Amino acid sequence: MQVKRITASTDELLGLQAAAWAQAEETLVDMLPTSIALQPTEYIQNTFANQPYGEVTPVKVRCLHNGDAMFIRIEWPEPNPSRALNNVNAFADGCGVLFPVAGDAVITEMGSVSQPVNAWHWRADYDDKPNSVTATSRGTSVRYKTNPLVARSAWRDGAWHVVMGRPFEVAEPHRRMIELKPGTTVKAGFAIWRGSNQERGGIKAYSPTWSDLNIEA
Amino acid sequence: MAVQRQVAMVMDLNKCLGCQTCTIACKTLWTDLEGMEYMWWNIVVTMPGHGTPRDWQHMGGGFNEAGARPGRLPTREEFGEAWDFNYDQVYSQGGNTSQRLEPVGGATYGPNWEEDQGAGEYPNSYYFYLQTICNHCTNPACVAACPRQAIYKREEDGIVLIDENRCHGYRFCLEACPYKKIYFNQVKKVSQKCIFCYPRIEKGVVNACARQCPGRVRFVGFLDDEEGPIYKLVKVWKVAIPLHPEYGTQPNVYYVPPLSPPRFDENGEIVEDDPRIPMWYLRYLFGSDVDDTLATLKTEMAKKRRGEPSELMDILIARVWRDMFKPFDRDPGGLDRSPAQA
Repeated sequence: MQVKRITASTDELLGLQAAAWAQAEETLVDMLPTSIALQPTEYIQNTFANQPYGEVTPVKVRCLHNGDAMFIRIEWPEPNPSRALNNVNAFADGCGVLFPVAGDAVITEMGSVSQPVNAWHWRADYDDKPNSVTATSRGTSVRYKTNPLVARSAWRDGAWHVVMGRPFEVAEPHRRMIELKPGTTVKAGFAIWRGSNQERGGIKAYSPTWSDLNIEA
Repeated sequence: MAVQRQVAMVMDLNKCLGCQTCTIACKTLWTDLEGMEYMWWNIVVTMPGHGTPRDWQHMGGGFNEAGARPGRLPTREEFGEAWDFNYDQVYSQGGNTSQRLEPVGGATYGPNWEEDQGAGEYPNSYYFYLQTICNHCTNPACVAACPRQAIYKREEDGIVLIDENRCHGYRFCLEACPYKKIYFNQVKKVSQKCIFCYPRIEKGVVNACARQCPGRVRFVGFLDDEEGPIYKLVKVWKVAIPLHPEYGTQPNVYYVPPLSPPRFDENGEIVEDDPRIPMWYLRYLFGSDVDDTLATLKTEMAKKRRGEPSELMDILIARVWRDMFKPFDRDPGGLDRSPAQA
């Protein structure tokens, strides 16, 4: 997956309609439901054993950078958008990009103590302020609300369009985040949660393999 | 981690007058913040009835032979909203208003919605009150269901707590709790529930719901305190039993089941040994142990009527109020309540 370098401002790249996005290569990422056997509790396993989830596939991904910041745009079909936790049984749609911070973390394990992972997590009820998430295995994610991530989103024509971005240089407090630099390649995985289908936590669609993101110099 | 001691509560259903003083004690102490308006960590409902959330007994959860049993999330409508009342209209307009005090926008459901409605045909109609809090179970379905270890059972007293910093609002706990005594805070986006007044317990002060109860319904103490009323009611006399034991979570809230007057037959004659509250209903709520429990209560009541001593009746009468809570019988008025220092 190419992260093409173009001349455009951050504001422009956050514009979902921006012409700049036509220059980005579109990749279809195949998704699978997360394994029922790997769900962390028996309750979740028993509950979702016969309940379909994680069926969004494929997901369209495009990446761009402008030398200062990098942006990932994700699009997926959602006929029944869920934007708010407006009831006790309501869950919001979401998407995430997962990066192995060190080494070659196992994507299905959500990292390990020696190979943590970092995620950009957008959710429809977050007012386009994504969380930066770190994890060292399934069930250990920690959300950092204060982070340098930016996002814009829209639901139209039966699909979510979400763009998330981050400066290459991040301040010291955010050092748990993935290191991104032009001229390097990082691995990334993707996840989608369908709120209307009660999807949350490990109940989601995910890309079972890492994709290489080649960040142009 | 093994629990060293377990705190427990016994509620005597024969003494509750349905005044909701417990409910308000809890509400004002713990659930008066934004997002908590609809929460009733403690509530008293009229039985038989749909309860709160509506028809919670049909929402699954708990454990069965296959292990963790799937449940479903209740809706806000099934809990019922915290109603706003038209106080301004009624009290502040002056003059002779004929406007009644009523919920703004109407009301479709709420806790104790069927207040004093009951069941049965006159003259055999009946009802009783059921108080519910989190059961602080020995085998908590909520703890088992959470994928983040955000819920834990305290080693020192077995109180079950949600760590709001770890909670991500997934609500598997609420699905899994067969008693549906967990609430979702839509503002904070975390699950919340009865904390058994642990900050009071830690200072030797009993739960607000228990201390405020004018009917002396609630006993609180350690389950293994052989001198305390909890041990005697649960373990020795076996007259306090959990609600829906078949749910498999082993609650630490126990109930002294309700006795009721005998039925009248069609000729208006009393039918002895045929209680107005049907035994099938009590067995549904409390399991088959309820038969022996009621038999013991009747035997001991008869002794007392004959002027004979009965340790059980003396415990249940609770003449010495503070004895219901030991070792948590400290007066909160004597505590240092200055604001916490940072």
